[in-house]
Amino acid sequence: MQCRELEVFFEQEGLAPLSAAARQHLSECHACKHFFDDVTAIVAVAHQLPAEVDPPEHIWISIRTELVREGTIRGFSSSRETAPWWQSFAELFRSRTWATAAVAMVIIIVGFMLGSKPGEQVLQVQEDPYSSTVTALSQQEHDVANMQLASTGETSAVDASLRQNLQQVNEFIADCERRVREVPSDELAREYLTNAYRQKAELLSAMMDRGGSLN
Amino acid sequence: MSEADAIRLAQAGDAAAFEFLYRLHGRRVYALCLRMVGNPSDAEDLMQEAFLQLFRKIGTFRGESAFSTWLHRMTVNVVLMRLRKKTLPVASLEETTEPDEETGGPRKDIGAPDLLLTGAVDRVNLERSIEKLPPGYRTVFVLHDVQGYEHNEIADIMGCSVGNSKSQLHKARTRLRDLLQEEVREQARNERQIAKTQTGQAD
Amino acid sequence: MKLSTVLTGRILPVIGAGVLLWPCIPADAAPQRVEKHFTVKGRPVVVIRNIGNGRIEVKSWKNSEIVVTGTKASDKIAVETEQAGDRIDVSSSVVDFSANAKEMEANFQLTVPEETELQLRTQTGLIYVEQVTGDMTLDSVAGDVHLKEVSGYIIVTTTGGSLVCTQCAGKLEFSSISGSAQVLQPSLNNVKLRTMTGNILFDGDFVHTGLYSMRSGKGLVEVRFSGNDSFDLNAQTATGTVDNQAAEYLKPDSHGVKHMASKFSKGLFGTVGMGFAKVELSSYSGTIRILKRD
Repeated sequence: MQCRELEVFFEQEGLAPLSAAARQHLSECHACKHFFDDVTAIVAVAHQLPAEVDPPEHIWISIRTELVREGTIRGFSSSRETAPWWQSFAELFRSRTWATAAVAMVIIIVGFMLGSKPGEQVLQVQEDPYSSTVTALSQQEHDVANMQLASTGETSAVDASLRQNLQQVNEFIADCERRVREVPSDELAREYLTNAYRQKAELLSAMMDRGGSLN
Repeated sequence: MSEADAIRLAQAGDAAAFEFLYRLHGRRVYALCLRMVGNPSDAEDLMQEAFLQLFRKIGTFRGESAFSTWLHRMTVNVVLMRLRKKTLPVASLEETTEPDEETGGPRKDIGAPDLLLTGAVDRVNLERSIEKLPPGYRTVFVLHDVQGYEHNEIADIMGCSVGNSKSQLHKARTRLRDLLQEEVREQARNERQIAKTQTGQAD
Repeated sequence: MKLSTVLTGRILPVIGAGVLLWPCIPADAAPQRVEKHFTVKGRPVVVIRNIGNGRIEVKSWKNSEIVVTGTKASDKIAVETEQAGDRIDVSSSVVDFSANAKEMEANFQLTVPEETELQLRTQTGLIYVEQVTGDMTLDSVAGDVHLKEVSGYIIVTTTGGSLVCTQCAGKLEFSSISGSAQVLQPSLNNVKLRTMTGNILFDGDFVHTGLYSMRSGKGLVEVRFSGNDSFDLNAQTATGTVDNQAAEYLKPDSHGVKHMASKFSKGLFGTVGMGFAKVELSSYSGTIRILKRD
């Protein structure tokens, strides 16, 4: 067997089992033996790589939300979900990073709830659909404030900019909340408010990550 | 619930069935996306897109192939479409091996470089090298050597022949060997540089 | 050299990483500068993560080479570069957390091939890109982003920084809390601008079949079009005002789609020309202004 034939053998049959002719050639040809050993080592390590990796939980929540919105999922019931749907987010508050992702998901679900037409029996609408969002964001903001108090470093231009923007976001949210209270049917105001909550969640997440990386 | 029951219920819109199928296959799909694009953020987007496509089309699944094959086919298509948008070169699945016509001897990719990779390959540098493979090679390598699919399953997923799947796998392994050897050489160069610098500072 | 020596020697944290070895000089000494050259083959990808403050400037040339020039203010910040094929990674990190803002400064100047994909992130410095074609993701907290003659799928995200985009082509997405956006002389076929309190100015042409969506919470949204433009317009505000300075060019919506402002918002709907492009403007409490350029 020549080197070229061995390469064709590897291509068609793989690395194992080796034919007698292949074994014979490998015992005689240093270059091909080198190649075989190298590729065997690569494949051995590849087998050790995990074939499965746990995806973040928020992916399923996003998928489910979208499917509910489209009507692909009919009847929001699950043997796993005996608790009210919003409590499924409790498990996401294990870490501060996922707390922010969870808030974003709450906002999306609230947005869809408010966007659903009367008569659609998708989800039960709460009286104040934003209350859990507001609570989660307040807690997040409180955590960020505590973290900044505990920080021993001086305030940088970046931190000052982030705080200033947080203040602007809060002011804008207050405006929108007032409008939504006065005119609950104003869809444009609700849309802006939902987006503002989302932006606040992202901003708080950035502040949290920054504080974590510098402390 | 069995997978077949879940598919039937999902086709009728049952929420629990969708979640069952997601939990059953999600980890493998996520691992595939992660290895194909190399970063969790893109992998999450792609996984979401793949499952949304799957669940929207689940009514058309007739059982001609295994459900997991159908899902992986969708996932691979979603990933390759995204990678094509980024204009990365996609190795054609119709490429065939080109023999060295001059000598009939070993091609330069079965060479005799100085470095033996046994003991030098680890999970970290292999993952990094996988990321550098062209998407077509990367797909076949991940499906076969990492996720354990057979060539007939890969051919079904990728829409190619079994022969092409084997050929692409061989090329992927050969390319990985080259990439890993370059990494090991670079590491050796860096160590020499550090040693030289430290010697220079000590003087 | 025996492979075992390579392998079993001291442990390197990252295989293949090129750590720039900076000489030890006092922190208050002159800025330290280094230049690195990377040869690339295809369309390269450049990733810069600047945790320190500082500018990132990118210009192009016709060579298949990337030149990275980094200037850092002190030893309290480390800069690393790494090449993996056609991907170049540049990152800065804080090594001494007693560093003040000035000591954490790192500026980068890059010269790249004309077709390059960019992923840039900095904190407070300016991001400037000129004459580069490729997808770009540009992130800044407080720094501005200036783009000139770039094209591709451009995504800009800032907290407070503003965007100025001149003669850009392709697809543009901008998202900010307080930053403003100015898009001048564009050839963009898809635009999405979002800011909570900043202003938006779009002064340019609307490409046929283009989609343009601009939204500000409190700020001004101003659009200037030319006599050759052709677009359907949908502009709404909740508590702000609509300043229509182009009434004579705006016909009632000619595509059979009835748009009506809700009783809770003010709106302006209509068609300019044949309505080939689609323009959606929204400001929660600011002013929406439409006018024709002379």
